[in-house]
Amino acid sequence: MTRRHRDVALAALGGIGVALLVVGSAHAHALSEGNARFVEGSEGAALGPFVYLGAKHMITGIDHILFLFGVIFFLYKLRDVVLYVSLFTLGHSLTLLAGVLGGLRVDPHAVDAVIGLSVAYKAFENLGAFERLGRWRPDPRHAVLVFGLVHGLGLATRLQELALAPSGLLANLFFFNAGVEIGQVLALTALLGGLHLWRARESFGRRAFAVNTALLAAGFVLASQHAVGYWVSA
Amino acid sequence: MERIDSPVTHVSTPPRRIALATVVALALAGLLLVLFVLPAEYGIDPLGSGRALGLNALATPASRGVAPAPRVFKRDAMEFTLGPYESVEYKYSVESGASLLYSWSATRSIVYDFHGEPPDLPEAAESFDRSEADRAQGTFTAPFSGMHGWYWENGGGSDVTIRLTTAGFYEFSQEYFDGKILPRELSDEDAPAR
Repeated sequence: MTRRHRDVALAALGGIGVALLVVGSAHAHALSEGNARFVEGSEGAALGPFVYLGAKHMITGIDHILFLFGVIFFLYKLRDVVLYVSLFTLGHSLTLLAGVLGGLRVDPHAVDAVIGLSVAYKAFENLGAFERLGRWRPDPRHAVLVFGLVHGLGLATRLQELALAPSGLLANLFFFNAGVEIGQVLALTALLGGLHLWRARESFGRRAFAVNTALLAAGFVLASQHAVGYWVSA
Repeated sequence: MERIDSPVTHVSTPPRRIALATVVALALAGLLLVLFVLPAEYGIDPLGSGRALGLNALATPASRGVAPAPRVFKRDAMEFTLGPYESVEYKYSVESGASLLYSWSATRSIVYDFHGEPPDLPEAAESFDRSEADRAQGTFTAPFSGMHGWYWENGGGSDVTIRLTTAGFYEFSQEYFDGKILPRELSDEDAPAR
């Protein structure tokens, strides 16, 4: 495969990713009404539907996608991407399973507000703010694990909003989690493809700072939107 | 523990620039929040931008199940008997989006098809619920304007008596029996006593 072929393939993946994001953000983040009706009416284990719902939730969840984008923004080595994404996956899988099985109830607005903050945090870190403005920089690996735990709580609240049938709950939970990881791999492939192409260009160096400033603003919008939602619904 | 490469490359960015970027991001986020997000999500509209852009309508709380109908409320109930191998249809003229409540029961299990067809287009009929049962009940909201109702077919060797009660926002009713379409009077009263 020549370099040219690879670039075309990556551009196509990037395009698919952008299209998914546009379609995804046009939808409400919560599970759609038809999907919700299915989940509430279903009894027993259902592999296909729950895998699909998990993948759809991840791909159409702009907060998860923005966080992942921030995490991999400056990761050039595949080894680092795998390490950071594994930590994120470990975190969100733990709280997704523990949250639903343990019946841990958290206010969805509060979780979503912290998830918004995670996007802002990652952007802030990417801007180099911790080294340049302060003396202490938290280990980014610890941060991605901790925020992974929070993102998992967000996934758990989405499932808990539905009246899940007790029959097949454990199986369906694993199916949903597997779907989340599949969606994450799809989203990452598209994001990495797009980033790879962009890094080869000279504009990456010039615009990286501006893009992370925009990511910071997006994180603030998400966080404040849900903070207000928490305050309004309380 | 192995120290991995720092993912951050902006070691040379002046602190002032980072501080400025943070302030810009906060200001931008605040502006987006107040101008668009708060009006559209929660109907909070301090600057009037939500009203100007029509965003406040998005925040109108969900109707919580109430949908006022600008039509006349009708009631209908009937009881009829189908002889062996006879079939009949009772249908109501329901406009798209209008709803009705229904409940029917039969003296034994019977084949039925709850369906609708657009006016003068019987070939475009659509089936909503087709099965075999001795009762069914629910709410129905017409997905399109037309005649909506039930087909019952007595496939057995004895009579079946069926009692149907409906209420809702339909115009008129028709009976389809023996290849003929007959207009019906709505009973406008509760189901007859058994």
